[in-house]
Amino acid sequence: MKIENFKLSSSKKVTLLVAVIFLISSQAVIAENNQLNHTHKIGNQTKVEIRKQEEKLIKMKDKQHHKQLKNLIKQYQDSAKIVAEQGGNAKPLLDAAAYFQGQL
Amino acid sequence: MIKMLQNVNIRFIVLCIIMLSMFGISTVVLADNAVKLKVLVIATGDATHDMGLAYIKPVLDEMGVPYDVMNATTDDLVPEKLASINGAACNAVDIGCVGNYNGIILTLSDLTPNFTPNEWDVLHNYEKDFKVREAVLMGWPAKYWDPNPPYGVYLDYGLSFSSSGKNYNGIWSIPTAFQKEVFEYINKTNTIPITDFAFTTVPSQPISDTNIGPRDGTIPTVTPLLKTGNGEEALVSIIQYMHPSQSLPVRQVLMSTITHASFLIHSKVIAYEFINWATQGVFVGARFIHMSAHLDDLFLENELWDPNLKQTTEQQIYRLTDNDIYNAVAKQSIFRLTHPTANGFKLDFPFNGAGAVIDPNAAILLPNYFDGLVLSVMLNSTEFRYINHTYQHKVLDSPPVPATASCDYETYTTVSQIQQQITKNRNVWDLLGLPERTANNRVLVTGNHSGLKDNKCTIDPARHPEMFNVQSDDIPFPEGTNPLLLKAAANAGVSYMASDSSQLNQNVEQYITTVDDGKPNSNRLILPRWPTNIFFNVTTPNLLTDEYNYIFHDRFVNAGQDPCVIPGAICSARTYSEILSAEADNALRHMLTFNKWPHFFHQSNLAKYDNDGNTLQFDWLNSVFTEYEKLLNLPVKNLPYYMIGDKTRDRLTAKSANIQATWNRSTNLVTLSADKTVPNLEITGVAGGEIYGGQRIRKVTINTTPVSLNVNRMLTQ
Repeated sequence: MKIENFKLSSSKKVTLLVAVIFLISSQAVIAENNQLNHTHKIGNQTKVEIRKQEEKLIKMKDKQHHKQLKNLIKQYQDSAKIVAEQGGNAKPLLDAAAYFQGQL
Repeated sequence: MIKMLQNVNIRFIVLCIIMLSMFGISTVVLADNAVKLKVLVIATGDATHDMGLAYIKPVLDEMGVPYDVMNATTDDLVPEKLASINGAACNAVDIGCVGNYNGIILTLSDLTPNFTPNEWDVLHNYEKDFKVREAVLMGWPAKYWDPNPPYGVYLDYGLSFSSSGKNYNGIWSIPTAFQKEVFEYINKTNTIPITDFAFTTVPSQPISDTNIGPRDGTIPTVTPLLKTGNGEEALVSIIQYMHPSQSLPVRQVLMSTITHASFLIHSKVIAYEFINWATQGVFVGARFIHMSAHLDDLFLENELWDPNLKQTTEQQIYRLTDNDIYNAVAKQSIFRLTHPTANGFKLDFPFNGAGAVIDPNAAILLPNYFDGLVLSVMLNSTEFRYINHTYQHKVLDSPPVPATASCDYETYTTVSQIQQQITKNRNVWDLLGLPERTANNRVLVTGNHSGLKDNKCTIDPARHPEMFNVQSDDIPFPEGTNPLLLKAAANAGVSYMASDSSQLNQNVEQYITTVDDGKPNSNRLILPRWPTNIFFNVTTPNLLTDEYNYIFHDRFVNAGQDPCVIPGAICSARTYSEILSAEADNALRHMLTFNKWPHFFHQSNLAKYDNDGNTLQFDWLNSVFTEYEKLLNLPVKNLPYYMIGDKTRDRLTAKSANIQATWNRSTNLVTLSADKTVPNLEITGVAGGEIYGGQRIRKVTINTTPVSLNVNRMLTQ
């Protein structure tokens, strides 16, 4: 294909120019915004800690959670009994029950 | 005896089909090979006892998925519950036998203590017979033997315990074969923090003479989908049960060993897939992610927080400027460009027209063109959306009884006075040339959501030293609703009214039926909105941080209390970035409920607080979407409030209907009907409609006449 085939009309040139300017400027604003967002950034570990704190607050306010935990503890203890009877290692289930017991 | 005869008949029919086939004669399909589009949740108690049920039930409800709950502790699973003809259990090959469920969800992996080996067999036989999948929400990777005849292993997930903990970093590991089918909506390039207890697993040793498999002769094959940070342990897996001689699984299970609860973000991220997997992506209902931000009180001013006095003061106020509006237009454009899931996002302004006219008390209202705020809003009107917030933001609570009794606030005593607050604001809407006024006529946000509960004229503690708490005499919604307001709203053609989801009884989408508003056939519908901790009285990070820490931490310390043991308080003060992180998580929890409720803010939160054009509002939005996009790739719906109202109305209609839906696997058609007309019912997994998260979601109006739709699970697209 000859290079002449790529000649553009004036209107197409303007459109192309506008598109390029838009692309460059939009990338610039994204970059700028990312930079601005960066000022509010905190580490992932801190974010996870805050998430855990918030989840703990919701747990404390959830009236049903206490009952649900008690039920789950009982179920893990029951499961541990079955596992032990069948010659398996029931310790992880008892550990799980103990973990949730600590949350009551 | 009847059953024996039926069996003889069936055998005869099967024999005929085989003989006809042998002679090359085409046969009609006699068995239905069909299941109803309904999920069976097998739980270990009601939602107050079963954490798994409390977790998945609201998701099913919000998505509009029909389901039954069986309490395994009190009820026995019998074959006729799963498929029956005239009350007798039937099999998939029986003529007229339709499976009652197209998906099974277990809230706990071993359903202790009362689910018997025989019930497990009944469940597994149904899953194999009707090709129905199972999803297990949480629990131990059990392998249990039956100590009684017929003996053998009745439950085996093909997994062995590896470790347990409460701090895993989940890594997605979806094999290509499953990428179009499970967790399509997840951003798999990022890890997902698991912030509460989980067991981790590894695939069990292969079945052998010393490691006996399930007693039905199947062999479980495990495909991990979500692994721990070391890449060696699984948190979520698919288990396919194969017969050694066959290439296709006879039974398939999605198993999670993470403990789930409705407030855990990782649980909310994963929740959809339990339902989607179990139903094979074909179900009545749908889910979308929504986010709308309402900035109340446009054209009015908000009082500000005084960090010295630790209270809101009339001496410092803020009203947006033209500079803030132009800045908001630019920030909104950048926000859309920065966040691929927020394409087309617009802020909503519930506005009070009295602040936009030259003389709010004049008989003929004139827009205040000399006011930079008014002019800038008019010039950029299509950049935002608008909602009627009443003309003057007056309290619309019931008047005192008797009428001469003192009241902390001014009240209206007639319907027409309140109605004017609605209609005058519409006049200003037109005067300013704001878009979509007619569509918005059906929506109203009252000032401070007033008129839904009754403050009984006591809101100022200083005026009521005799009261320990001025809220103690409040009458909550719906009993406290002002009938005058309801009548005014009905007269003005308002269908939807905003409520504050943090207020008692206002966090449920519901019609107000307790008040006679003069329009008995079309009650007003309340649309809850989420509050946030970006308070109405703050414009800068410093003000917000000061008030936030005072409310949630400092005041308890000042009073000699330990905030760590006080519900709702935080153990240590937070920086602005930490507040944004906590707020982003809370918003994420709301978004992942799939409900459509907007978050509400105030005009003061859009103040440009630094030379970079930053605002509290866009700081919040950027934080929320950054966290969201780390986890999910679904486009976020940003609907106008009236459309949220319309969709809520349709959803409530669907909820109140008896919908029948059956999926015939032979014809691959879903047939739907209802006992009444249900407009715009959303169906996932059928041809046509919108593509969202790699699945088809189609809206269809159904009634008593059955309508059939082709199934399209989009597994190859």
